Amino acid sequence: MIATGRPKREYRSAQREGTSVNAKKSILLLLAGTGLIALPFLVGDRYQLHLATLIGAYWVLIAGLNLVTGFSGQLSVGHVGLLAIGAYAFAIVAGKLGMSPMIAVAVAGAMGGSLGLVLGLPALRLPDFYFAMATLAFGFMVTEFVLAHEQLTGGGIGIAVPGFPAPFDTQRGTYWLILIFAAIATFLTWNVARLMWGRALISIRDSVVTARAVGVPVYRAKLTVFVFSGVSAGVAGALFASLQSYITPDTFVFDLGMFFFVSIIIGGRGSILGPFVGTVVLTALPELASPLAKLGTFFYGLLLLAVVLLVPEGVGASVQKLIARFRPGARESHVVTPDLASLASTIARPDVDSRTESLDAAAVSIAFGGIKALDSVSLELRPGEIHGLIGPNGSGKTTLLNLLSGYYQPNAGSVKVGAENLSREPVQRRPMLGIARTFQKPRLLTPLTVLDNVMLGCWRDCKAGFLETAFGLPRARREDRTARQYAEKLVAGVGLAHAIGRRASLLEHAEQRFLEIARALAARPRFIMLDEPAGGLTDAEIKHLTDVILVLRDAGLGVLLVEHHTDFVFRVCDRVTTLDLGKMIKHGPPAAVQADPEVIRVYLGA
Amino acid sequence: MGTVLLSGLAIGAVYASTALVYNVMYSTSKVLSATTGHIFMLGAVFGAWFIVGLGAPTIIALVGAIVVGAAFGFATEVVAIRRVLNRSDQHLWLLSTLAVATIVQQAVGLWWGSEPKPFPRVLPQDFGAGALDQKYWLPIFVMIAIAVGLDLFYRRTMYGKIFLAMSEDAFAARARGVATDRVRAVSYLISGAVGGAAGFAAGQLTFAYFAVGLALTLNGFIALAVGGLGSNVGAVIGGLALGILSTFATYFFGGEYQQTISIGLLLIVLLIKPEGLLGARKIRPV
Repeated sequence: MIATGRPKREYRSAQREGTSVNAKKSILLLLAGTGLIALPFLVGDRYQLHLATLIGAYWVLIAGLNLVTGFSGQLSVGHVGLLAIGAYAFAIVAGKLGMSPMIAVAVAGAMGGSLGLVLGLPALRLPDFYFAMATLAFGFMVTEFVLAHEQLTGGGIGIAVPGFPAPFDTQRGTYWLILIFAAIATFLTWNVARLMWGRALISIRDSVVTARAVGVPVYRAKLTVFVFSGVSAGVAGALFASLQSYITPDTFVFDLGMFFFVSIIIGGRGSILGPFVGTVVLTALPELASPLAKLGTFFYGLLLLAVVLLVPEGVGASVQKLIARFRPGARESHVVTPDLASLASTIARPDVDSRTESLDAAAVSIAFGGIKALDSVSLELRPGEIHGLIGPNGSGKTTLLNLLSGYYQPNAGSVKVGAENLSREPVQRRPMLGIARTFQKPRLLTPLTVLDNVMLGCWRDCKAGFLETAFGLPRARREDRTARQYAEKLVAGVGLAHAIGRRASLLEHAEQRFLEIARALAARPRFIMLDEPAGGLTDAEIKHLTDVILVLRDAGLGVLLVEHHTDFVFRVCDRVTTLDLGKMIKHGPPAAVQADPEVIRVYLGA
Repeated sequence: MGTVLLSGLAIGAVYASTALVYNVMYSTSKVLSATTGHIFMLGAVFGAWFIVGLGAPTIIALVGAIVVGAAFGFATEVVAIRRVLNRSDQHLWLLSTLAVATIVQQAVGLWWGSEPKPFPRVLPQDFGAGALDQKYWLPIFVMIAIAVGLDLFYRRTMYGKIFLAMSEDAFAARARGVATDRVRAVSYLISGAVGGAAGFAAGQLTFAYFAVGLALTLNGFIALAVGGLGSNVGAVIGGLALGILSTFATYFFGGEYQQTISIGLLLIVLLIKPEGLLGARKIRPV
């Protein structure tokens, strides 16, 4: 406790600093909001106000697209098609059918959302380039559709678009109306970004393996934000069309799609302010510097190339990264010293102690091509025991671990917890079933802080859906707070209190290893599987690791330890299983395994 | 009907050539470059410019188109591939090639103009030749030449075998002493030369038009994904099938839904066989 007293105090003072930062942020926000509302009285001429209004309409789309591209990392160049759909829906409903423009905006949003669903359902199953191409094709398809249905859309000649009714019928009124929509879009995406969903989306972008391991339903989450971005694109289309007052298929060229996309990439992925600044700059710059206007998309291409080559994380994120690097103490090195008592009290769960089922792999086999990677291997991981899994390289240890954690499905045999058969359950169901794991090569979300990385592990306990999160409803905020408190305790428990606010990319190797364990624990597992946790650690660090593992066992967790440090394994494990060439050659208490002649022959050496 | 089939085969041959060019770059870099269609666009635009603008003889113009294509391919590798491949972020090559594609497309648009311009006759022939018209046969011949040439290259030459080795396992190839950076650059150079020639040959079909690159990047990719990524036979089958399908669809239902039909074909194939008709299935390791 004494050892961790100081960092804790430091953290508290950092928290106090945080409140004053928040106060500063609120004041800034208030000023910016007032400025935006008062903008029509500040700008010099009507054209500038038109530009500001246009930026607002673009931003409604880009804010939604940002969740798709900037957060979950899906590179869509086809949102211009969704924009067109919203624009035409608005023009037809408000113009041709003469219905209320507000209803027309709702229709435009609904159309954008449903076509987003139609596009996303197949396209989001595809790998990166396939997805980008599918969205590109979607843009072309919308143009084809518009041209083919002349009666509805005016074909190549175009269609007139009505404006908004009073009090939004003046130029200033339109600006304020669009400002309201832009503010709503910002509010919704800001909530998504700062609460649990934001971390989940970034995990999909940076490491799908991690996302699935903590239980994020990857495809469903991607589809959800994609549909949301479709709605925002549809609404933006309605606003945009009404600003243009006349639209043709040529209004929605590929270049416009590039512009949306480049705004986000330049501004920086995983941020909201960055893409907003990107949108403003990219819209305003060609207008202010007229030679750039002529170059248009050529200029976007150059910018995109420069950003990708020089600051791949985007200008905003790179500045942040630089600041983090030079913040005092950022590089300060600490020995990771777990706070065992605090860890034990954090993870103690009476309900775990009372459950006695074990995680049971019964005669599992799996083959890749013609190679039998596992041949009828059985392993029983009991609660409250440390089970070692050893064997030479290529003996099937990691395969067995991947099978237990659901990345592979066995060809024969079964994986069960008690009576529940998990053999066909996907990876992302494992956390719900109380199974967590770490990875041989730490898979952290490097742009996020230590605390955020651990909080991602709490995904299992966060039940708030996307809309609840987007609107910042109490449950979503409460769950986020609970997760934060739990994660803070875990971070301190594994000995990372000194680095709690540090970007994971700045961590040292041992710190990354302990962070992985904290993240796995955040899902409150009954079974935890550690894939070579001692790899690259010093003797002192292995000692700390041992202490942590013993605390886990004493708390009633079943610990599976895949390791090459055999003396470490034989010291801490209650039972050990040895694999060779996909077959189990010996299992039992450490002493018996250590003395087994076959184990000595294939693995330990004399 | 015969002309419909022939023009379908001709367009399909252009798609097939594009898919083959994708494969050449993919073999050494595992990158699907968004610039692929733009190589063809450059071949057509520069070919037309050399002949009409500079009055060069056809053969010189062809060589010029090949040189421009090769230079562009090489530049793509140096600018957009080499620097991003060793970064951990897998998305970057997509962004960097898209950026290069956009730059070259817009640069040509600014210089050449944004209207399609006709491509001159390559061989002396009447316009009344019907089914024998060179605009159908040139792309088909060139596609066959590329497919056969690549096959010979992969089977018969040391360099071709190095390409195959790199496509199997670039790390292993490097460990065996292959200068992987140089081989990759050469493969982009070759793909540029081949694409420049094919773009030149297809010029009378596609016109010298700055926006044709993006359409070919998309349709060539559809052909590739249908046929199976990495397979040259698949690329040819996928390209021809796509060309014939879209031409017949235009013939029977009108030209309104060409892109919708081709993307529909892609989705159906991917649904049934995600790796494409002849692609290799991959086991994804954790």
